[in-house]
Amino acid sequence: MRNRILWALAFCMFAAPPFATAELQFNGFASIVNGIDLEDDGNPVEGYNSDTVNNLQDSKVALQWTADLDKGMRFVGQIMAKGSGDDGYLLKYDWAYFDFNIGDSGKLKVGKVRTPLYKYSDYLDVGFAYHWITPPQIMYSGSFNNADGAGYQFNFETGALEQSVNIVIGRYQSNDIERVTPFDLRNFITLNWSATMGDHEFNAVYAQADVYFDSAGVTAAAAGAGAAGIPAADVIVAGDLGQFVGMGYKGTFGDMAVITEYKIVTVQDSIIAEEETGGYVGATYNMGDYTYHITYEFGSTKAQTYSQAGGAFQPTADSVGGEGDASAIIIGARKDIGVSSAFKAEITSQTNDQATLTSAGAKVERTALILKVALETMF
Amino acid sequence: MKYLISSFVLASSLILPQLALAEVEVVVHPSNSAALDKDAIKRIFLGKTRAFPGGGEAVPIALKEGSAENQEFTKSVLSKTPKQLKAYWAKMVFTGKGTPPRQMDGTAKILELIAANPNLIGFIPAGSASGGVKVVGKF
Repeated sequence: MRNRILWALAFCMFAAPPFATAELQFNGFASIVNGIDLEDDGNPVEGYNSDTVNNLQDSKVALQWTADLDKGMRFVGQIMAKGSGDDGYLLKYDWAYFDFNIGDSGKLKVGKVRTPLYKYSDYLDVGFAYHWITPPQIMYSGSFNNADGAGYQFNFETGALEQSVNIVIGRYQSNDIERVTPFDLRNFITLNWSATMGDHEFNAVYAQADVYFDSAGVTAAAAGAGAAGIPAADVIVAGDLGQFVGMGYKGTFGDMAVITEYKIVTVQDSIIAEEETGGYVGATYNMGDYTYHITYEFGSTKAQTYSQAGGAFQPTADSVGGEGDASAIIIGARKDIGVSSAFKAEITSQTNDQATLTSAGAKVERTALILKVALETMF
Repeated sequence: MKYLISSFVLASSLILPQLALAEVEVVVHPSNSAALDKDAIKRIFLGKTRAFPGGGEAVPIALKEGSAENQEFTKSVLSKTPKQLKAYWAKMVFTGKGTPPRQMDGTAKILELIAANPNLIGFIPAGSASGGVKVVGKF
């Protein structure tokens, strides 16, 4: 008993000071989104169909806490519940890391950190911070936004140009919530540069990783390739180099702004598309509490091709995604309510002929007209 | 016409003092010799740097959101509307890049804290500075 009391006292002596000095701050955000596909053809696009009850996949509620520790060190955790059509809300840790101040404007993060692939990647889930309900989905199609590893971000000025560099090194592994098949990005490096000069913002990104992806479709395609005399290594996705290049610009001209982004993704020596490109061009117009916006986005996927002396082997498109084009027009409006909430409505007309084949192998063009409304807040 | 002039004088007497009251002064500890122009103050209050020009940790503190001085400072120094500032901090907070300046209940608290800490920088209603702080800008 005495030992227990001593242990308890010793624990309190060591444990209490950090708890007493750490300063906790809570922030959070919420987006309640619902939508309907007005041209429902039985194939959900972006997860939307004509049933409005289960269309909660863009809804989210998050709580972030920051513990200010000593010597410029903090611990930041964010837990988020995301809407899921079948399961209500699914809860997961979005990120959790220690960060350390380095120099006047540098910050080192260690833990589960955000990968800055796109202009809006860093605050992708904080709908309140931008005008769309969700950023253009053809461009922002990657399902991985985080990596387990380390990130270093620093700011500096060159004349009138304010610049920021963000480097993230780590690994991304999908989990059951995000994907049913294992998706693994090892040696994942992202280098993001952004700059602001007055009302003009620029950003550029390069990322690469060793890609591992395994599914029944890939296995079947590898077997088919083997029968055609093609090395399985050229089909399976096991340590193949994946590369991402992205760039963007936003210019503000009084009440108007124009925004554009473009990306190129490749994965070498594998069945994954030889090249995937995507981008968008959009404009916003502010009028008091209202923001009106229009965006045109486009994407194209070029399938991997295999040829040999005896003929050509073409993997089936539904194994990992096939060749095709997609485009969409998004028109919407945002109404600010006070300074920390907003109501949004937008309509997206999308055309997509990727990865959809008839039983005879012919392409099917899939269209959707998605109407979404959202109520968003941050606190 | 007479009524019009009277109304104008009355309106002016009600509005102008409020506008004058909204002017703000940026204050630091008297020992702080950093060259602080509007741009340097803006960078500190937007979390783009954690240091004063020339060195030394810089920790900004602010008057309560919604106060006339906070609104004036947001407009004149940060060149943002309250909504733009809220969206800016949403990005900064939820990307872990920074947190907004801590908000204080009143001018007296800001003067007391800055007089005791050379790392702090804050803003107060114009003309309310005490001997314990140094005014580095009026906006």
